[in-house]
Amino acid sequence: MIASVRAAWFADRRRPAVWTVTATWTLLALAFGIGIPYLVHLSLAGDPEQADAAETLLAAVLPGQLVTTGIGLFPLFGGAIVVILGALVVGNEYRWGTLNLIFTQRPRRGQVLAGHAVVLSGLTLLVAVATFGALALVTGVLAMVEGRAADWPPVADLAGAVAAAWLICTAHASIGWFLAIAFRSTATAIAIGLVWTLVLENAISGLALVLSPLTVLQKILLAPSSGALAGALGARSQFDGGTPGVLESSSAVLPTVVLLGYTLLMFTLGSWLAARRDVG
Amino acid sequence: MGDRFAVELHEVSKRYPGGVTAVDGLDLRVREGEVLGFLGPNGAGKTTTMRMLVGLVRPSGGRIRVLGEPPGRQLARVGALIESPTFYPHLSGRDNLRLAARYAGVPDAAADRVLAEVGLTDRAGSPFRTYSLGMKQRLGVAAALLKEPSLLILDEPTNGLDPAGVAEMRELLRTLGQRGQTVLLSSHVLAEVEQVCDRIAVINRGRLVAEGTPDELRGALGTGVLLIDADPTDEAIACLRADDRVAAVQQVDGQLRVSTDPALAGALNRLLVTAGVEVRELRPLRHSLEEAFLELTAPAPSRPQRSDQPAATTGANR
Repeated sequence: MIASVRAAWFADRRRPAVWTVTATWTLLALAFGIGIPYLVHLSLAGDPEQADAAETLLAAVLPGQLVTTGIGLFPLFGGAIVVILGALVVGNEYRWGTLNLIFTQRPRRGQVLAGHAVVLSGLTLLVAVATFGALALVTGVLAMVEGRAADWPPVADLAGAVAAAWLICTAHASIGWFLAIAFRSTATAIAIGLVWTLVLENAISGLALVLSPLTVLQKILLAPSSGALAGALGARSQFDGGTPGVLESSSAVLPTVVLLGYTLLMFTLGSWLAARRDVG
Repeated sequence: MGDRFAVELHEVSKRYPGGVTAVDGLDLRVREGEVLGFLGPNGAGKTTTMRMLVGLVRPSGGRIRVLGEPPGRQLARVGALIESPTFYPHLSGRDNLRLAARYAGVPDAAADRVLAEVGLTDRAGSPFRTYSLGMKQRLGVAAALLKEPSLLILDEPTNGLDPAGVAEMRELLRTLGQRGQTVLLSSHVLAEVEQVCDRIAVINRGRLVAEGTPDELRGALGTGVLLIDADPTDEAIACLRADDRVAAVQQVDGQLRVSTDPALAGALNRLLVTAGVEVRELRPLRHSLEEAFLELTAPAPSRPQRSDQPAATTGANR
């Protein structure tokens, strides 16, 4: 198992696509989380009638709201990006035929895939840490530029937000990972994964507003659970002027259980499928 | 060469969804320490068989043992290059081998050893995607050698190699055979197979049709022709044509090609000697390995029915 993890890390850390996706997401997070609100703040700042709105926007990009601003980015935008990451790391094995190489070395297929899953989970942790790291850096700089106090959130709150972001990312990545194995293709997995998380689940969530029986189904969907987890950590929902994808929630327990369930189910199903099917 | 078997297949079959039968009741055994040539036309089932031996493909029926275990259990002692070499295009040859070494649990240093063995050290740092077909093939063989395996399964290892590369590969295979490693070698280059293999197995349509040493295979399918070098030639031709056991006599390059049952060689020798003809040489005309292969794998309707094929070496008569 350790040999499989070492080997998968050796392969994944040298994949340009992994770093391209991570860097792209980090830049998008800075743009959506900091850049756009700050630009809007600047445009409103000179208007006395918009002073409250401008102040609210500025507060959102300062260290004091690092947790809520950061975690709010993950349910919709971050989740979709890491679906691509999950699909890339295993889908390319089918594209290049490299499963022939790695399945004919020493470890059993289950161990190989477990190694892949562990490394993918490590990459999603890296995505979460890198996102909050970049946001912290830029919010700190903005506090200095604006001459505001840098009221950093408690370490426990920040750690909780990073952990929640990691869980949201891993659950989404596991979907891409499973789909790439199921369809033996990166492109198909990305297409279906994005339709699943961005279109299908949001459509169900939208319908749940008018068809109350669907609210039960909504609670076990990936994107709404991610939104509820972010909401439970203080992120404002779209209806409350917050980020799209975030839902109001008083408890993090159910969303956490659902996201853990997705992660375990997708990794287990993907491993089982890849282990029992013929290769090549 | 030992009496134990590194590979045993008994009544193995592989049927794919859609009704395609790639392997159909195949029986094959590879002795420990032998180099076995595995021949067959395209689509005969060679690659599927090799894939089953390393556990990439599961058989639909039958029993397979590789180094005494079911496929996939002894991968630490099996090296394989099956079909085209598959590696990470953005990684160098050396890094691809290091990656395989990590999965295999062997030291990274093994990568440099096998790179030298296949003559790829100079380009070891270049990305795999920049390799020529021959270099990719060499890297595939290097990966197969990484674990110093007891059993080496090579599917068309000389594919894409230049003549010098083919000769080097042949030398490498000979060395492996001398080291006592078991090699199962699939190739369409029959001269290569003939030179390096202890035995040859021929499959067609998923079934074993013949197996034996290269000499046995060449001799297994009788040509029905005796070559006779006799003097005086005219008297020998007249004498043979007068015998009703002889179907035809042709003179080719000073030798007589006599169409008859090769078992009559002794009787015809006596006939000629009694008639005062000096017989300098008399031997059955043998197929080349290529002719034997083509005949063994010919489509069923055009394949001649023979009654003189030795049952011990040709599976078709069993």
